[in-house]
Amino acid sequence: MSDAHARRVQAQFGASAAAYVASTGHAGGDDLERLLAWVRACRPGRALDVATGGGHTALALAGVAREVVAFDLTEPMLRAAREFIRSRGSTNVAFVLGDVEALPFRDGAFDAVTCRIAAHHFANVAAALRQAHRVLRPGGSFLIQDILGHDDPAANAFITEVERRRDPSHVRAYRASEWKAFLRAAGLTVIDEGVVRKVRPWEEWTGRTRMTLEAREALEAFVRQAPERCRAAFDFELAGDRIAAFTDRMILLRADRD
Amino acid sequence: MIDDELKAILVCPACKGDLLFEETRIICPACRKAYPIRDGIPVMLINEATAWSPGR
Repeated sequence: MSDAHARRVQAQFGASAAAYVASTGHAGGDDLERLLAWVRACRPGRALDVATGGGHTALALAGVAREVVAFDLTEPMLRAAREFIRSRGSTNVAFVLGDVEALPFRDGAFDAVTCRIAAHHFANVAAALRQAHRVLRPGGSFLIQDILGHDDPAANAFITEVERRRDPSHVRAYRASEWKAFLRAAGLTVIDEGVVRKVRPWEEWTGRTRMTLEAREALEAFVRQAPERCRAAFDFELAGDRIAAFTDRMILLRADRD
Repeated sequence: MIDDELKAILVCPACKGDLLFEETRIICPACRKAYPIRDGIPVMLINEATAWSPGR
């Protein structure tokens, strides 16, 4: 990815590493369970977790795969993930810093590659998927979870603006049809798919990225002034002049290398 | 310390070629670049690599 975008991501997550380790939304839930069920089905010897963030997915993989590589672009994030995973007693996870668009692994090195709640930060999803395909063995599984783009363009523009104000490294979320086109183009065939809802408690969600009070108030005003149908599309819960929560839909896809 | 399992699958992020592993850095002889190992973590970022030449 471009140096400018890489620096945006590194600045964003380097400053908030501990908050991502502590994040309940990343730690688990129906979404992680669904992804893990797919992982168990493919019985990976070696698995790669791309953009591991706080390391929750890599830790879960460590219980299923013989060997796991946790991979991230941001050094403080990866160190925090290592500390977290080691504190849980897992010893079969290695840590590598790098760029998803230039994976430093041999062709066919992995039986499974996961990428959870991260692709909306990628500057070039197509390039990232080509790399995932390259490092998978033939028949290996790519397991992706990410925020689902909304079919209503106005709602999609609204939530993208909310996300970018909260986190400047947010690029965009993709619709199911876009994901399938990306995967197909990369030589990955969709085997299974699902959608889960993820409630975002507003205090935690805005707090995690260390927004200033002014930026947060401006964001809340933006949300309140948005068309009702845009808020309704994400089940924004308003309590008086506070925002309590909203709900994302997350897409999960299992796509195998041809 | 990079374990043998990891050494077996790591390649240069730029050229995907074989690497030479040293105590504090990882060398791609083809690209003539050295990638740092910081606090035990291989930093396989192309823009963090430094120039390397044989015999040094």
